[in-house]
Amino acid sequence: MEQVNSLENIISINKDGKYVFDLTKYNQSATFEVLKNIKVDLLLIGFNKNTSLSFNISDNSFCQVKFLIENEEKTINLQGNLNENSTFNLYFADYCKENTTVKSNINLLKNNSNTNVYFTSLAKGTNLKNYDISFNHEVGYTTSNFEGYGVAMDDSFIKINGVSHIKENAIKSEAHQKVKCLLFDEKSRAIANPILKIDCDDIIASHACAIGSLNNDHIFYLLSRGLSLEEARRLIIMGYLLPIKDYFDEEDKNKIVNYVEGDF
Amino acid sequence: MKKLVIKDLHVEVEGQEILKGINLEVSEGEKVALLGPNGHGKSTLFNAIMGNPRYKITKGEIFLDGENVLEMDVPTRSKKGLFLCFQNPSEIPGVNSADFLKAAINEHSEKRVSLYQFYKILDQATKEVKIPFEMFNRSLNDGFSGGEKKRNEILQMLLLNPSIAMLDEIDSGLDVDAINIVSDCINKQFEEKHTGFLIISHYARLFELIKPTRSVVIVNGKVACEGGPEIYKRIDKEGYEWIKDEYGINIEKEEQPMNKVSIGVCATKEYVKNGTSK
Repeated sequence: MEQVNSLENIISINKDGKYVFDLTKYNQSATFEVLKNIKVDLLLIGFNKNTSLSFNISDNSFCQVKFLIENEEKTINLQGNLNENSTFNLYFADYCKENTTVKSNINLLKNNSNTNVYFTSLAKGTNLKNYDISFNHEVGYTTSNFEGYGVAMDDSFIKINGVSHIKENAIKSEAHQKVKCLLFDEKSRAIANPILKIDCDDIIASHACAIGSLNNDHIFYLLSRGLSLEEARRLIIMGYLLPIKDYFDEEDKNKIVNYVEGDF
Repeated sequence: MKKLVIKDLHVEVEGQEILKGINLEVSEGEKVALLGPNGHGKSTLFNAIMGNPRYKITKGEIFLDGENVLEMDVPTRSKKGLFLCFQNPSEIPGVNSADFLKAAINEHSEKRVSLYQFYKILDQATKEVKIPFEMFNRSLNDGFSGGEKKRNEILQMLLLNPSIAMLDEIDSGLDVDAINIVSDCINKQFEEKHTGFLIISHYARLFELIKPTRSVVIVNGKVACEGGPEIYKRIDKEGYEWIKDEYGINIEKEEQPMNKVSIGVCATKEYVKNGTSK
């Protein structure tokens, strides 16, 4: 299974499977080495205020990491290094009651490596949710997808920076970013910068961003079928915050549903 | 038998008067073909009846079975038996179709339907409109083709069983097979439930399949003429020019403002400069 060098907190995983790591055992700092030709699904728990993680994904391996961010203020710094034919997927379900900062830098180092980063964030009170997600396409035939959904309530603020850098010679690479934020109250705010830096030809890239209050056409459509305004708003907000639950196991899925339904 | 009565209806959209005194009645058990040139107020009429807040009613009255529709909020209009099949149904990402339909059915029922009952009803309806059942695990209209969206509208009509259904160009974007499916559903709903229909279409093909009992033509925001099926057949052959000759109505042309953004112009710069893309 996994081998842990406790001095340096390097965790080597050499077998397929689902793993749960309690970060309190690693002083909130760990490097995960996912060895060749394996498929792993990691759930990380026990975050404290500051967490620093690094993932090295070897050739032909698949690694999926899920973060259910709860309770007190959190800062997560994360780095990923991807090798040939590897896949690295990150899912952040952020229902933390206080501020959250996620800084992620993913390096696509070898051909046919690909990564998907998906987050959902619910900001309330005076919360600041800060997502800084960057991708470096160092070589060709690499793919990155970034998708984020935020709902800002009260006086909260959601700030999202996405940078996809397709470097020279990274031909045939693909980079996509899609960010949507819903402002629930008059004082709620959101800023999103889905940035593409492209230094070579023959690539595919897209970026999209939508920030605003509830869409009146959507509301009218739902009301016209007899739904009350409260129910219509609830369904639309669920549509932002709930789909991420499908990536989580049953216990966390229920937690996510409870967090969302508890608020709406 | 429920009756929708529209009296001297005037409606504005963004300060421009579109409907200028519509008088119209439709009862359960009637199929009314609603025709007229583009931009003359047909869709505006449907949106105003359903209560779309973008459409401001400046004068007139609407009654459903004697009750004042204009005093009802949108969900109440739906629960009282009005239904609008949208010309361009909204795509609502993330809102699960099945969850939405279940919520809509519950709003229309005295008792909440069980999950088992709901799936039974939905299964039956999907077979009638020939949409794969699995599509209802997807987001509402999100990624649906034009034809799938229209059939989804018809499916909702079947599930909610309205007294008066307004179908806004339900045949646009449908292939021949889909038009047959949709018209079969309309005819079945009419025969079995006696739903009253107001149906906008620009093509006689749909009308030939559903056989409207009446035709009404809206020109310049008013009802220009009414009659039997001969009217939609004549419009299909001759267009609207004969209305000008026979009724002395000058048909206003739809004004299309010149789009400032054209090839070679950066749309983003235009937007920033003018605050609008038009």
